[in-house]
Amino acid sequence: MATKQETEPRSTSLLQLNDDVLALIVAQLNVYQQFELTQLHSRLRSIVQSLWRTRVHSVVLQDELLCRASSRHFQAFMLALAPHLERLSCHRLDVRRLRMLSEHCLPGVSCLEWLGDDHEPRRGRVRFVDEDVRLLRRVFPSLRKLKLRGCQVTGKYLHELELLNELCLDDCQYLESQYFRDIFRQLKLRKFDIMEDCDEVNCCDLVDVQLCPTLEHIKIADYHLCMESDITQQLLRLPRLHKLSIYSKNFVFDVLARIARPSNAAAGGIKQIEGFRFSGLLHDYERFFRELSNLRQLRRLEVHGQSEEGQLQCLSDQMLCPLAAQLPELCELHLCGYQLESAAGLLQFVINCRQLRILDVTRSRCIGNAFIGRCLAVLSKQSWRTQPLELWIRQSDINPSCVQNPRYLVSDRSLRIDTKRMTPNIDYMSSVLKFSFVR
Amino acid sequence: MSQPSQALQIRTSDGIVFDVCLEVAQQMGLTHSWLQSERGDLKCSDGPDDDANVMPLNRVRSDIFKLVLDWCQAVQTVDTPLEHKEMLQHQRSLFQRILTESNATDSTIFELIIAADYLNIDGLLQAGTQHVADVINGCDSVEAIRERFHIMYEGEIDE
Repeated sequence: MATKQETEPRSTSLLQLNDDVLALIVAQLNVYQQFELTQLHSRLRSIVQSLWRTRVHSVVLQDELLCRASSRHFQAFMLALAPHLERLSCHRLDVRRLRMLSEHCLPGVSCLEWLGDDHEPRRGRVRFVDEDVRLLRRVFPSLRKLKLRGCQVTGKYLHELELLNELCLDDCQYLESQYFRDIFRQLKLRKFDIMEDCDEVNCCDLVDVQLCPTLEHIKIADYHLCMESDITQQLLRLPRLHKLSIYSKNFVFDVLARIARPSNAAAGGIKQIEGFRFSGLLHDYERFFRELSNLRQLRRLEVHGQSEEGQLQCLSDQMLCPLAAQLPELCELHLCGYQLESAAGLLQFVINCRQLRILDVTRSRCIGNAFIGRCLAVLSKQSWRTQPLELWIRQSDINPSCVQNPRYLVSDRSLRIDTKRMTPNIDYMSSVLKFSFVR
Repeated sequence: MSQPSQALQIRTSDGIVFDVCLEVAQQMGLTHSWLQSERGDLKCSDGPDDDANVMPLNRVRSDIFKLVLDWCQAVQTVDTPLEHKEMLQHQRSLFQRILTESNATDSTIFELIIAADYLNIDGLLQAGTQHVADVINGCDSVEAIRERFHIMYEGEIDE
């Protein structure tokens, strides 16, 4: 591209392009560059404004984006965004940028993420502290969802964010237990996430969690369950609790025993567990399934294995068959990423679990055509079955002729094979036990 | 005996007529629509005097149309289907090559983008607008953008 002005006709201007084309160009710039264009010409301002009406409800800010923005320009930029902005995510942003907004108000923002430096703060960096929480209250008066990561907050002023219903505290290692009483008592939280507190020694005592009856989804680590006192029963008695996720690398069985076998289950108020999910490495699946067999009302079971030294972990028929007998209400079974001894264990679920409609064995080995044949034989005898069983299996694990050959009598009435749902769900965090309760 | 390849005659705004093979012509949404509405079944070109077979392009000059054809012919030579990201990267490289080979000025680039928009060639339009966005990205201030792209101050009298 020629760069010397003397070679260019004076009339060659970006503005000779039509609005549609200019909009395509503008859409490929970052949001701060778009703001800069608004200062050049009213036509560009109009195009950017039109784009922003639908495209800047959610914005991510980073220092790199704003490297040439002065304080005045940054404030003008945020005020220009304000009418459209609903969700703001600040990734390792210098907190002094946030403090430039202290005299302003962005009432449209309902969701804020402040993601600070994870472990190693940058040299000379100012950290997000308690007073910045008070600033959030002034600048974002409509805040309903807040995530703080890598901040130096104690929790002292969090209870002042009166409209907050989702709070996530990630790697905030200066939190103090004393402030959680006010947080739970004064906020109508629906979701509380402190799972990645990551400080087992100085973690917070959540003994006052029962003061927040609006909680529906809680994510904690195993050490939160029993600090000064065991809060398991308090958690299970929360009236609206629907999901409880507990991170546990080394105490999976202890957590299961606390939740699956509550000591006063006969008393009223203890919730029924309808779903369970775990993803991770275990070394005693027999014990694991034994604990799971206490969850007699379970309707959904998901267990995702991980390979160890390149090998899938093994599940024997002896482990699976007893479990199948203990979970009569099971509707969905996901056993993904395991080496199975044979198809016999899985078949027991097909036989015993009359409600079973989804059987997911993606990434597991030793299934194949033999299983499908035996499965069909079992299903054909289940005259009470009104819906076909959906089998989710990797396409490479079965012979295509299995689904095409009428000899196998694959019919939609009995068995529906789905080879499309293959994605190993990488969103599942490892070593998390997730319980879902009947509403 | 081989069949003559089907071609479409396209006349640019400065009166130059191009013979464009059908496969290349169908990359252009405008010609595709013209073929559907104006011509019905495509007939082989009967000769230079058969105006009914000549598609007029009243908004595109011949020098720009040559660059458009360069693009379309280069895109056609891609045999294996590419992933979306790879395709975008390939198109950007191709666009850059065409600019370099033709010693394109800003005016040429803008006219090429306008032609891509008019002819409805998505890939060329995407590559062209991305190119301009990259140039804007390379400017280190608002004034640098103004100077680079000759954006006058509003109300300024152009002498």
